[in-house]
Amino acid sequence: MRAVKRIVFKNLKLNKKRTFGTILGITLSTMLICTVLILFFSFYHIIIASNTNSFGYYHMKVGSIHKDELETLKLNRDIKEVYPVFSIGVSELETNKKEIKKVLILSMDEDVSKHLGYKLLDGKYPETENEIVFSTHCIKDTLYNIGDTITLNINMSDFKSEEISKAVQKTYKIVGIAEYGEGRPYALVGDAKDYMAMDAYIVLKDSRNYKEVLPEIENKYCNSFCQQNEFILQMESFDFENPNIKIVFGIGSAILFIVLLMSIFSIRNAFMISITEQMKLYGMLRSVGATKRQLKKSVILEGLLLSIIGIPVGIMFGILLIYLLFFCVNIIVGEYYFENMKYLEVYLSIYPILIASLLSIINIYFSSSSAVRKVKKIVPIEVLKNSGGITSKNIKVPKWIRKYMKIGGTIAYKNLKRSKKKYRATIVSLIICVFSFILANSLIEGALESARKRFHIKDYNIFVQNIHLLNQEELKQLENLNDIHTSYKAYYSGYLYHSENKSDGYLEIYDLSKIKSNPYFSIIQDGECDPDNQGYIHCTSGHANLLIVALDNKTYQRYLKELKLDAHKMKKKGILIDLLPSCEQIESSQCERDYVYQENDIIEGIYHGEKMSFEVAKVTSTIPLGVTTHERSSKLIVALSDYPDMNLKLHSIGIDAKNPYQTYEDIMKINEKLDVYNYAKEQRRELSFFYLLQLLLYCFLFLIGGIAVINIFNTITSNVRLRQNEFAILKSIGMTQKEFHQMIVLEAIFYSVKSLIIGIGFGILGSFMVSNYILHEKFQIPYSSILISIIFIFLFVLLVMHYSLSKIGKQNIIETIRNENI
Amino acid sequence: MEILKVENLTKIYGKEENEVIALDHVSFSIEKGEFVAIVGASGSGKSTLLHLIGGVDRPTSGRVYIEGKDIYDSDDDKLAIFRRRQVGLIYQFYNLIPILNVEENITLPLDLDNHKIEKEKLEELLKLLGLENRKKHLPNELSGGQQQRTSIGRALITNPALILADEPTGNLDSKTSDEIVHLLKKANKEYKQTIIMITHNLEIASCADRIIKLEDGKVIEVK
Repeated sequence: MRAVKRIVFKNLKLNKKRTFGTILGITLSTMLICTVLILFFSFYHIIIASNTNSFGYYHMKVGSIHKDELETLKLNRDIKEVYPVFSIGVSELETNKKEIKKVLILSMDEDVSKHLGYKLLDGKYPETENEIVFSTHCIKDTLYNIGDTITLNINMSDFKSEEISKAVQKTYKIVGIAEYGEGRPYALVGDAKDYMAMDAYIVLKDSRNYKEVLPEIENKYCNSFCQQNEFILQMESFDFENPNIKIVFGIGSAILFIVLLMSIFSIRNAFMISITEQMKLYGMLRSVGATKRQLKKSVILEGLLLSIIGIPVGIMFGILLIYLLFFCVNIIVGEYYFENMKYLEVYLSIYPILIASLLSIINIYFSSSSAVRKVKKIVPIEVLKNSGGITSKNIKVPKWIRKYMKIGGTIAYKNLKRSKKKYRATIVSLIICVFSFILANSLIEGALESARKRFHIKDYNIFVQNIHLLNQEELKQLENLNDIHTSYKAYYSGYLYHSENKSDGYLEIYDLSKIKSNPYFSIIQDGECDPDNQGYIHCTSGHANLLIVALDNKTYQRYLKELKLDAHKMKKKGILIDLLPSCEQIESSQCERDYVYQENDIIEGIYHGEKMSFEVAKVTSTIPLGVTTHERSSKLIVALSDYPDMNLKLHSIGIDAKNPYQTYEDIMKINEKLDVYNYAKEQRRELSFFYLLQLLLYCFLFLIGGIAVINIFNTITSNVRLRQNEFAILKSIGMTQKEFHQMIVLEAIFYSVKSLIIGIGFGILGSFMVSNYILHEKFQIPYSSILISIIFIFLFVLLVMHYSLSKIGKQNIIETIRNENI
Repeated sequence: MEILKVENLTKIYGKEENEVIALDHVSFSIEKGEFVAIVGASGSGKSTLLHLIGGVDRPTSGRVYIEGKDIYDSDDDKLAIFRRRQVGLIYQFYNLIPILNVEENITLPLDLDNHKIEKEKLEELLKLLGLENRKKHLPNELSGGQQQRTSIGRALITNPALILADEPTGNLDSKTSDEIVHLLKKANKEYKQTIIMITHNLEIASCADRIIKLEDGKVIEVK
């Protein structure tokens, strides 16, 4: 054993170049795995953190829970934490714009507030029942500031209720300003002696089995309502329903697959090169009596020594690389990244490091084991004669090779055919490189394409609602704004939330059998709808109210095109929006439709006292441009030109403005009652996300490319080194330098072509699978990646060949032959 | 007729302290059709001399004339072409191309020159070498003697002016060695082939027409 150890140490020390090459292989692949894993963990945590930063970290909210129940809830074995939050009541706050804000007053421990995403921006946290902290959204546009005293009329009934009753007057000192994700008006007070309701926010011990645990808790403790924090639950249990997150994780898994493939091959290759170069040594050791066990030990020992250096260095470089990457990314796009998170932070935990080390160790172990198998098969004299791995089959060299490529081509062809094993490593390296490149590129292209589609779904950047509240002059001002590039207009028949007469302006449907029976809707005696259970159907005095929305011609034509409907067959027909956008794929009780109408059915009802009927051209979830996507209620979409006498009023406009920030300000000046949304900000943030994605994917491609290049470089140079004797013989019997180079170039071309054919084939197959199963996009042959691969492989292989040959060319023919024969 | 003339051939390896004089002003000449053996102890410069005659290395000084032409007047490529046309090299370790079979190894110098291979000549040569039944075999499927015979075939196929054999029997048993020497003699007699052979073995050397003895890079005896 001592002898084996000595030989291994000496061998590693004396053959510094080869040792370095193997360590480099291990380091690079460990680095790659480590970087990608940390990237994953970081992204995963960033996504979760961006949500918890805004809305807090909890798994379920149990509304209106009793005190005793709270205590038993705390004892539940599946629950880790219970955060009680007290609702004190609702108050009104007057702004200096003469607007009234409804403020929800809560009370909770400072600790709980931190867990639930409330952030104190200024001042201190309220400690007594007379201290209060307002949200930024709340205090904005008011005359109050920290240190002021405020008297509030607190209504202790439900927040949603329209009237304020049971009002209690209380005086508070404002001690601070806080922020909460949604920007909803709220205030926090110190101590809650009297409260309206208590909600409990639950954190589970293990959220992965939430599907079994949470329903049990719901059954026991849900007095009024329970709300699961679906985002966190899905993220933590890897049970994604959100298609965007599904895609991100799909891409992630594909990247991880490529990385693992590359790293497995990289390490295996490094070991095989090392073993092949040492074959003669092993042969000699065998011939002087080393047992197979001793040889095995020497290979394993070598692997162990190399991994002791290679793995920690790889992990170190991996961590450095990710910090460097995030540093660069933060400089480029940091400011606009996830909401409430200004910068990307590396999430460094022990798991990615452990996984990367473990994967590398397993990888090295299997690579050494296959090297051991190779070493065990050694027949000493064959290895010493350097004659293994060649098959003596009769090869017919194609005539065109003989004719056009002469002896160089013939020898190159025979070489490739007869010593397949020698080329296998090079060819497999090239195949994996081409395959990974094409796959990664189509992943990038596809991911970017689908990101582009999602981000540019809106054709407008300003959305204005409640236009019906404007007078004629104000309406004129709005329509005459300079910066309106294109606009999409929607005219509403009525405004349920704004109208005192609730059914005014709606199509009244008296046939209640047209309403789909669902758990959220019930009819009480005499065909009256239950006012407490009517879901999203606005039902009054025994009839349902269907909103009619008319679109201007341009918007309507675009909508028809989007729905693939023929404009000529649409005269006096309506399109029924009666599905949630997500419902077309998901079957669940929450996705019930409101009405039973199908295509070609007639909707009959009374509009302003007159009987009207509409033929349904289509039932859809697609909402036209210019109509708010936030409302759940069903709508009947018609063309404005078909119904000029319906007295429909302009309600909302989607505006494509060149300078959305200025236009936003201009519109706000017209009338403050308008609801104006500026999507430009959101788009800018999303666009930066898109650039970030692009940057990260290209970094990854660069990393993979770099490793593939080093891998191929190692393989080719080693192959050339192993064949230098053969080259010297050819030269000694009279092959000129030109012929020699010709032969090498042809050889490179032969195996590049072979690798490209196989690599491109697999690459196309991989791209097909990526577009079909991960991105759900239409498959397109990745021509540009194929072309880049072809050019790159030829150039690269030729360059590496020339590099290694230039080193050999300097050697003396006789010296080379003699060294090999000793 | 003089086919080879070596004039003041000197080869020095290394520089300054590490300087080794492998050949020291060696001069001699060889007639066409002669069979010459070069003998000497290890490190006496035999192989260096042979390689310089064969044009696979360049001398520090001195000249080598083959058929009256100074071979070191040419550049590397011309020298390579000269080698494949005028010189046949036979090594102790055969140095066959492992991926080429017997026939392909033998015809390699002709292939390099884009010369058509005369089937009859090849068959005759294979018969002479006793390799008729082995022509499709790869070097690793042959015995040492068969490999050496292949390398002799490769040297003979171009009818070179000179055959240079560097210890052709050094790696073979005595029976096979006898066969190889017999073969070389046969080539010398039948094809009037000029042969220069390096050997340790004085018995084998005695088969030659003439023996040149080297010691410390100098010719000390010509018999």
